[in-house]
Amino acid sequence: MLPFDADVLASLVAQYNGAWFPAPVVALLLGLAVVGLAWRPGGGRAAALILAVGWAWSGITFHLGSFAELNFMAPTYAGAFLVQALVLAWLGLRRRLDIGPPVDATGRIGLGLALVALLVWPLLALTSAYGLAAAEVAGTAPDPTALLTLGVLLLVRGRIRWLAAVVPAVWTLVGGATAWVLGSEIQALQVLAGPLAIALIFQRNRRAPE
Amino acid sequence: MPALTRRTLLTSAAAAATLPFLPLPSARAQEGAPLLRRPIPSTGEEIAAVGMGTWITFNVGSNEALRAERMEVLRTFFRLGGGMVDSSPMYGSSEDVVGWCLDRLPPEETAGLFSATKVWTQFPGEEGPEQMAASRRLWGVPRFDLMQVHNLVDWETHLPTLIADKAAERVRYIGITTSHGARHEAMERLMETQPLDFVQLTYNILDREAEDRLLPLAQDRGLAVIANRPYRQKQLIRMVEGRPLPPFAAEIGARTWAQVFLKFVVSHPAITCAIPATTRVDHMRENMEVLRGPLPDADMRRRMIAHMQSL
Repeated sequence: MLPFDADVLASLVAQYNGAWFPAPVVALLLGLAVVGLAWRPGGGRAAALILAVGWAWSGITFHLGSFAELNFMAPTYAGAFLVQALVLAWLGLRRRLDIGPPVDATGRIGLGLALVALLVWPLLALTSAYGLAAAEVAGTAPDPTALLTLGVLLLVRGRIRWLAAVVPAVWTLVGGATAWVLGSEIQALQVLAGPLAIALIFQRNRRAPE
Repeated sequence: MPALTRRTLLTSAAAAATLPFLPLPSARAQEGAPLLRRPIPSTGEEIAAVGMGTWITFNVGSNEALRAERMEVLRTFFRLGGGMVDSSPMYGSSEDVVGWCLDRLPPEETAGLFSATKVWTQFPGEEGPEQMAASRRLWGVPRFDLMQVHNLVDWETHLPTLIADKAAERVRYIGITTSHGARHEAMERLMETQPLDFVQLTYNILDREAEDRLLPLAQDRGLAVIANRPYRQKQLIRMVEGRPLPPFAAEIGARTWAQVFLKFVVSHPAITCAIPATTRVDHMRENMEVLRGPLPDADMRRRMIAHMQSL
């Protein structure tokens, strides 16, 4: 039961992107840089901090600044996004996010998830009446931000800090349920990403040395 | 009794043969029919039996193009005799959009407005009076005609406030709401014990639980009843998509399935007003046609229910 329909949400995203332009473009480039940092020794710190900025930006400008107009839950979502921003900032500042190129299935799935978030997700807006103006971009819009983060977490070498995956995983359930109610079956598939990522994290952590 | 002759039989058969070609009670023909209005039992004031809801439909944020479209829906509503507009702070920007539309429509067109909203506080510490004051500012009204406790949330706090507000004439009527058939027992207790004017609940051709206790109780206690979800948020319309109208539709002057469903709702003697929501001017016209023309009687209502159950 959502207090808005799909057309109104797409309209809101289009307005949001327009109001904050060129933030979505900058966010896309930074998102690609985050993935590229997996191939750079010590790149995890910058990746974590960039992701933290994306979560904070999405929480404040999207949830509080725009989505709150439509949905009474938006301030709560903003709070969760800011918590996630703090978690990632802490990981980055303490150099506790050591990412690298994918070396196993978990890493390859992570890379795939990250690329879907960056390159495929914005194109889903082409199905709306607003076209690419309503593109949801990681670092500015919540769904692809969560997917990108889960993908990057799966690129971590060794043990993965599962705490950093909780909010993104829960968000994929929220985002997926929202998409389902609004009639977007493709976007609803994101509900699989959170549980999958959590399962892979636990599997990796069981095998990786302490 | 005159004998049945061949002449009589042939004449009658010829007359019957023309029946399918006679015009149905059309919207134009019904335009001159009296507007269906129902009294609010506590005062006798009459309101149009079809109002307008704003759940989802008026939550369009700051998109001016969509707001302008909703303004036309609201203009059509008032022009065709509508009065009650129902909203809530829970409905996102709906109250803001309603107020935006009211501000831009000529006063003579909105003179029939019966403003109905709700108090709905999510978190402890949230102040009902502040929220209701914010709603008045959004709507641009000095006071509401009807203030309701939304979904009975924190009614223990809000109902005393509303009772006091009514005594001080800060609101004209007070009420409580539920939807989806939830909390009927709690609603029943409040209907029996609290000085309410209105109750709002879900009632449609498939969701008829309210007929068991709440509607009779409302009649006994002299409470006005607002029916929400008359189309189950379009689910009823989707169920009958592509199906021909049943024969009884013509008997009650219903041109569409939506009118069949809405006539069912407002034909219950306990229902004061139904509040369908729409984003479209043509659907608004369709809804408001129900204010004119025949309504199903008890026997027809049974046939309508049986027909839906057979689908």
